[in-house]
Amino acid sequence: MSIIPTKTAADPYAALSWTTSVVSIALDKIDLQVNLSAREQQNLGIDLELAPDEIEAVPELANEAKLFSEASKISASDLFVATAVPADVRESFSTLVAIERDFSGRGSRPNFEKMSNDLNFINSHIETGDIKRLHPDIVADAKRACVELLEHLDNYRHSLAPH
Amino acid sequence: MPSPWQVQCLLIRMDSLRNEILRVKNKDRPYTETDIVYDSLVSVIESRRDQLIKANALAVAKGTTIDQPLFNHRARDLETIFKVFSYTDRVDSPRIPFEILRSLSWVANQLFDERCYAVVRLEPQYNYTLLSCRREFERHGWSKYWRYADASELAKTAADDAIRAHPPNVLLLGFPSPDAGSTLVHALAAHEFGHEFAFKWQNDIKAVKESLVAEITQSYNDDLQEYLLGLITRREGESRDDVTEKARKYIFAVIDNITTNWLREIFSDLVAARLVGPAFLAAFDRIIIGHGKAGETHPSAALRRSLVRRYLTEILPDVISDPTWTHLFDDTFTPAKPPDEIYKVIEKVFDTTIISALGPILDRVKSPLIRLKAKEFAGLLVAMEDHIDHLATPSVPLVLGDKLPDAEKFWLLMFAAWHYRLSEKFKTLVKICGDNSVKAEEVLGNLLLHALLSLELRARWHDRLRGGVPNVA
Repeated sequence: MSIIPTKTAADPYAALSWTTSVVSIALDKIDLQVNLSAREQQNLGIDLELAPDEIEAVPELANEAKLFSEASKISASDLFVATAVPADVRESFSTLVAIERDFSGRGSRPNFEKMSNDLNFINSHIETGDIKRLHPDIVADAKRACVELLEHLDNYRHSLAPH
Repeated sequence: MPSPWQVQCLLIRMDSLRNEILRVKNKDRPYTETDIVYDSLVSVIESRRDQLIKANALAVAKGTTIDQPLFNHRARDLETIFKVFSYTDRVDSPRIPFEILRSLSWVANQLFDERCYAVVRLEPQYNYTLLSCRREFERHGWSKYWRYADASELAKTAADDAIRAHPPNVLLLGFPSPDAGSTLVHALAAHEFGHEFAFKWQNDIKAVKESLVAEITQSYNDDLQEYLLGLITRREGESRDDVTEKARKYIFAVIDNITTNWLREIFSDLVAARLVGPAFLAAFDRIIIGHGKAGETHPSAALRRSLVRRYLTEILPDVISDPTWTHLFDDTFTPAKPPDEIYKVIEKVFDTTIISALGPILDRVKSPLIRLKAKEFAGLLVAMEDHIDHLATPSVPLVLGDKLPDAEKFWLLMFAAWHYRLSEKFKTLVKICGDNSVKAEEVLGNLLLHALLSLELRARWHDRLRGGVPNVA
């Protein structure tokens, strides 16, 4: 913090981008576990077991996506008139607006509701240890949503000033 | 998609930065307080490097390449790490008054009940800053890397084991190089410590923010509607309603962001006002000359001065009735116009409601100026200034074991030094210094510095005598 404004500003979404990257890697591992036979996996020479931080990151991102989904449903009237928008949803809303500004016109935002549901479903399989039974399409969809979110965050610019 | 060569380039840059951090860590330095920052940054780089290698291997196994956004984020991480590393640049300049560091560390430990190391760096901008490195790591999502490396050179005593288990915080105080010798400007540390209080009580501050945002958006809806009309630019295929909805949401996010930032700044200003009284305004005027326009991160200097003045009038009426401070309360200066309608509305709400909204939270910050009775306080101030007149440290009249906690005396000394600086007595000191007011301020600053050191040493000795029990609960 400084007594007057400084020229540099931190990336406020660095933590979210890291979590999303960790999940993206976990999904790559799951994808290979689902699509390759045990022998093929062995031949790769890569450890496909999920690391503890990857296991933790999946439900964490599912929750963030849920908040984004709820935030995207808030209407402007709710924000300006109602006082009952929960604080965590309101915070996610500000994030959503900030990261969407630079993305509009270049593509659509991820379907956060589906992303959250997919990640929760994948997480339930991780918890029960039956990753192999996951449908490859769910893993692919979740992975695509992660990449889209990372792209949103990558396009984010520090300033919220009109441009 | 990044080519294998680009991936290699990024990995090499990560290695170069790690090597540079280790080089700086291992060179001869006057102190090693920043070691934890270097060790932790190296851990962050290693985690990013490991992830890039892992992502690359998985992409190759899937017959593709690393996703571009993931690659971009790792490149951006590297920039952030480099920026945080640069904060520890110029911490070993011989122009830094190193003597102040122990006192600042001590008072920070007392205030936050957390082991803190204070480090001063020379700021490239004309600015006074405080960066809590632990907080900075949390902000970037790196908190789990905040630790010393398990290096064998760390002594294996029980005390060092405790430090390893609960690593200390590092507070980086940035100081404008032209004012490197000015101890008086360190009164601004009170504002910067205010940010740490804001973090400590962030849930309460957040509740205040919610009510302010609600007030701004509801009470001034008509003004904002007009502003909104000027913002709308319809894109092809978008209906007017869609665009209006988008613009309204955007304005809300802007209001939320500005309110969050301003609230932290004003809260910290008012904390400083509690700790050092009008001396904060004096030090503030040294750094912010003129308007200090409102922006996304900071309110205008005019609003800040006005709020601090009103708050001081409310909490310290006896102190500010002293004519020495009069010119700090001169508000004839024409304030800068707010940049646009949003800022105008936010300024209006802050101006009318913020002091009462923050009052109960601010009351938790113990103020030496409030704690002492007016008569007692006036007597003490005269005694301290007498010592300065005789070029003796003003800490002498502050006796041990009285009702004022030692850490609060730190702020009292800052207050007394500024009071002396703005009083008629300072003119005599200027004469002694050959009509050189900069020199006279340096002399005053040196006396203050010695007083702070002496206070800190006495407090430590006192704590030891009492078996670590502070003199006042």
